[in-house]
Amino acid sequence: MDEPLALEHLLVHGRPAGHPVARREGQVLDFAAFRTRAAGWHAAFAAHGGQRCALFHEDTFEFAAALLGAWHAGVCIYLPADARPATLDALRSHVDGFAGRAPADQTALTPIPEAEATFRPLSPDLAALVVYTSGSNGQPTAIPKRLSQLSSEVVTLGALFDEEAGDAPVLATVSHQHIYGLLFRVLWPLAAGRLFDAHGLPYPEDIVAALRPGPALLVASPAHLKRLPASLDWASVRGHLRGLFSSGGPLSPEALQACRELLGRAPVEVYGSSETGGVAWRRRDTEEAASWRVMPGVEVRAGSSSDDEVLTVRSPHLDLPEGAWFTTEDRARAVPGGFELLGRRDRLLKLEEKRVSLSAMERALVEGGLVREARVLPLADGHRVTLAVVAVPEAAGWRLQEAGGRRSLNQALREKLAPHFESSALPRRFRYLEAMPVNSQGKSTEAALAALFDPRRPPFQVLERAPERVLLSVEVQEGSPYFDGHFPGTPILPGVAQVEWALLLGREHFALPPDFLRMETLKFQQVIPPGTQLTLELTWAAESGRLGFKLTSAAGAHASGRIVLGGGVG
Amino acid sequence: MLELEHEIKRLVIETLNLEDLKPDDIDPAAPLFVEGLGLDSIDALELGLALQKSYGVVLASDSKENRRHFASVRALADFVSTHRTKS
Repeated sequence: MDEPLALEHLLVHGRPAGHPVARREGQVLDFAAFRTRAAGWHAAFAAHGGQRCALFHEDTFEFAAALLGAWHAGVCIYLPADARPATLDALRSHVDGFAGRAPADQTALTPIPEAEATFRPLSPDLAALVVYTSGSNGQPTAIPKRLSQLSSEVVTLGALFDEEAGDAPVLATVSHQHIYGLLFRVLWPLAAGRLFDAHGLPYPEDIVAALRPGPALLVASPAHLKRLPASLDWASVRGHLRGLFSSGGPLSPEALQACRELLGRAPVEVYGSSETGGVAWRRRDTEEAASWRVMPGVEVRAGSSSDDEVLTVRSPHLDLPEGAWFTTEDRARAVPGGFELLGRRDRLLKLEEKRVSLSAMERALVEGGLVREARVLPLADGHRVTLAVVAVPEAAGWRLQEAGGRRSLNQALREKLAPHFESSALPRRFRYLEAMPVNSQGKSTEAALAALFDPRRPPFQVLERAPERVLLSVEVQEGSPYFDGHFPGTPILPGVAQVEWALLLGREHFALPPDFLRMETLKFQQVIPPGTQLTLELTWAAESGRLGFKLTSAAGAHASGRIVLGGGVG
Repeated sequence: MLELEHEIKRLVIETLNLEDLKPDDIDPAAPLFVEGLGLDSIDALELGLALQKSYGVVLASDSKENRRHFASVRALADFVSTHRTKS
């Protein structure tokens, strides 16, 4: 194990030229290569002259070099979670330039070859990073980080886990474009002098293959750990696993069980958020509900009385005014050496001057027995805000919907809520899914839930589902905004809307790359009038990046084609 | 009259963004508020505005009278047919 280096001095102090930094397709990239690349990026940022820059790169080695290069040029890096056009567009007004990936009409910064640089120590006060988190109102909130916040967190991780981790290389299923991945698969390995893989592991098969050659640490999220297929040959590779980390959301009992059985160990679970950074950790090797252990240097206060259960935090990973505490969204109870989490804080909302607890409504929905999971969210509906429900029904709920349509289940849920809530607060709109939409961090963001109510998204049901093919029944509603003006008196569904639906529903069922590249073999055979009950067949070929679609109905074939996609999965 | 009832059902559905509901699902004689469709006083305000815009009907300041007009789709159709100033 090498002596850990502070991020502030990483490029100044440096490591021997041949010290391995990263691994890309079997090839080791050493510290000399890293320093050269960082110098190239440093020169590019310095020549550009902007103070704030967005950075997206699929390759973690390149990303790390760009990040250090930017910091040494005094540039604050804005971290988009993915490279979708809309995500990059939203950053336009906040940054002076884009590195790695840029919106279509801009040129992305790239490193200047053979540039030389003399690196000086970085100031801990450097405005280093801005990350985004989905706020409670569905709008992304920017969270700025000083370098000292990041470097103190890296020191904490080293103090807790360096010894056990040894010099095993770091593999990851999570993206470095999020704070968790950034800390665990980039900054901590750099500081510790530990090799990291330049590519992420999107599929369980990749994890098995990556573990085969030798010892490794795995940085993962609950989204991946709960989807480990028992059919893979874990037994032959799990002996190589020297450390397993999970963060980004709660790890379900089933996922924990899968880790123990398939990977042979319980993960180190890290509790924290984009705002707080790491707060506490635990490893549930035996007890089912082990309490959380507070990280060194972090202080927490958890309520002692029943009406004051909110967890508050003070730590060097947080930039707070002297004496201030950060209030989290979680409730907790203090126990010796740490705390137990008791669930999320109540989300309160004022609807037409009346206060409603969204959390209480979610609990009441689940307790009603018709749905297994429920999320309540406010939606702007003309002049007023009304509540909407996204739920995963229980068998009884699905039966109600099959028998009497979605309206019967809506009505049954409203009746369950009626005794507890004002009638004007009862939800108006409902969406039923087989699983909550989650991002790569395993979270159902408010934005993803709200998108389910976009009038441009057609209602649909899943008829058949396989890893590379889904068959959907799609309803073409009379009220769809796509019929406005297309055409007066003879409404037909525009071809672009058909392609858009294929892509939109494709994204809900497969992990598609962000960028639309081109269309192939596009055919429109028959018009689609309002009220048509369509069948949409989607096929996804990940290797070739092609999403195939076929729209048919009782009237025969309507349209078909292939959408070619590319770019990194964020 | 049946046509006007149908029109008003559509107006109710569109104005109040009542999902999963088609005009034929609404019983023209059933109460619109509380029971029946479960609409509330804010919906009544929205609906009043929409009726004004579509048919030029002006609601009286007498709330008892208004409550009678808003009792059901049929009552609304009666009210609109006798008070409309737009066609």
